[in-house]
Amino acid sequence: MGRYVVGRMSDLPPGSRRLIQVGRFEVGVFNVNGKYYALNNRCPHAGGPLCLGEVTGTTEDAGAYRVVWVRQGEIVSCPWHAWEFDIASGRTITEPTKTVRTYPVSVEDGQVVLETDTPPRAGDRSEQSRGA
Amino acid sequence: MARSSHIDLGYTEVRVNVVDADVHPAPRSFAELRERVPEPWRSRNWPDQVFDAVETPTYVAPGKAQRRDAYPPSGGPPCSDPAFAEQQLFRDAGVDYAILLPLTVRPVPNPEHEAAVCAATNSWLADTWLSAYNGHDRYRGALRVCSGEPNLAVREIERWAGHPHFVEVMLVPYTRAPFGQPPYHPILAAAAKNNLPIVVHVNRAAGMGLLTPVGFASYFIEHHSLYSLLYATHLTSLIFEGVFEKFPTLKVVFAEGGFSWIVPLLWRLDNLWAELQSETPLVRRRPSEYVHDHVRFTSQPIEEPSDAGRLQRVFERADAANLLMFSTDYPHWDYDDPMHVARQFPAEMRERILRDNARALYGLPGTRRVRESA
Repeated sequence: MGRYVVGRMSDLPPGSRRLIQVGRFEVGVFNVNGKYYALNNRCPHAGGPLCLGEVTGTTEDAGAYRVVWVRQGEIVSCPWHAWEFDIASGRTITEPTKTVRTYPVSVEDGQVVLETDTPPRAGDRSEQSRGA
Repeated sequence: MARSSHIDLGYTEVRVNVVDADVHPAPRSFAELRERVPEPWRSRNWPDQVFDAVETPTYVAPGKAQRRDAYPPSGGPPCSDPAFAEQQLFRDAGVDYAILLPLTVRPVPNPEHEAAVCAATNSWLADTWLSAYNGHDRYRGALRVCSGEPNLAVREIERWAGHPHFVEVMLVPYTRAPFGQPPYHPILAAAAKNNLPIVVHVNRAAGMGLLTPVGFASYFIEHHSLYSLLYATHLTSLIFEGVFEKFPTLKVVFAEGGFSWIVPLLWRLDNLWAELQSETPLVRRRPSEYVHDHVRFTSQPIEEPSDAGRLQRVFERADAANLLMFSTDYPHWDYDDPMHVARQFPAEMRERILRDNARALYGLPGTRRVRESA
């Protein structure tokens, strides 16, 4: 079991994200409205860097040509092909459903801690977010 | 002086594996383009941003059509920094050769205006990506011409004929008539005479050009889906106007408009030709035969039916082994990565699609030189 200190809570305010290297892959850790979530940085559609996408909202239909904007900050849109993923669950909000691996994130003594089932390797360290 | 840590061992030849038939470079700034625009257009009041001008407000693509992770760290729009483009395209994606189609020029109503910006784009591409950035010789380019005024287009083609790195002539398909019709023949003739394929590639502009067969679409998603219909119209016209009889060496590429749609279309055209060919007696061969000999398609955006076997069967039926050329559309939002896409091609035609068909069309070698160093 791997535990990675992603940073202090103050380093990861709401709306921010950080990418960290976990063994051979990358994980994006997001703060969505004060709660932390982590997603594997490889889109299940075509392998794009999902966690570098825009953190955004989405739309809901409200009747003929009326569309409302909802869930701002809860969605990440993959930079390749724009698939929309709910950050909290790792599931797409459109069909066909795709899911990206999620990881538990906890807060301990003011630190944000990521848990994976890959033990840390020498040289793994938390990296400053790209593209936030 | 410090001793160099690299020892030059000379060159080796490596095999070419992937030719990317559709890449879109951009100037670092509009100034880079503007300084090459002839007068009076250079001094007139222009929008002064390449990328905001590039994105028409009529139909808006996600992320202004760009891959969000393709912005160079040093600044500038995607695919404007050659070092970063090489990293993403050559190193990360494994592309060996890339054909560059600059989308800097939106069609505008005034053909002289459009022709002026086309000329600037061609000069810019020739100076930068095809020479200064092309020490490795892995880039080839498409000439931009204004189809709305064929004399200007012919003049621009003649200006660059013989240039070693321009390999095709790009036409934007949002025109007032389909390309097979006689007003376009001087452009087709000039291209054929200079052994330059025509490449048809979409480039949105506001206005009448964005019509579908039934008027204007409401959404970008509709508009994007309908590129295939646009291309089908041009292809049908090219065939039945006898263009491939009049210009027997002409080749035409349809880029970024899909591919699988040609299957039912060619069944239909072949049938109708058998019934109605006396209306167009110049068309002496079956339409599908002209397509086999004269027409190619790029693969991006690849259709992705949920059952991958379906795509493979369609590719077999569509003769993708001869007609299809791989492309990424780098740096656009719906980029196709070679690794992901190649495994969807039937195994026996993979290398033809990834490399051989484009090599044959553009005259690219089978190996390329790489400098070795220790």
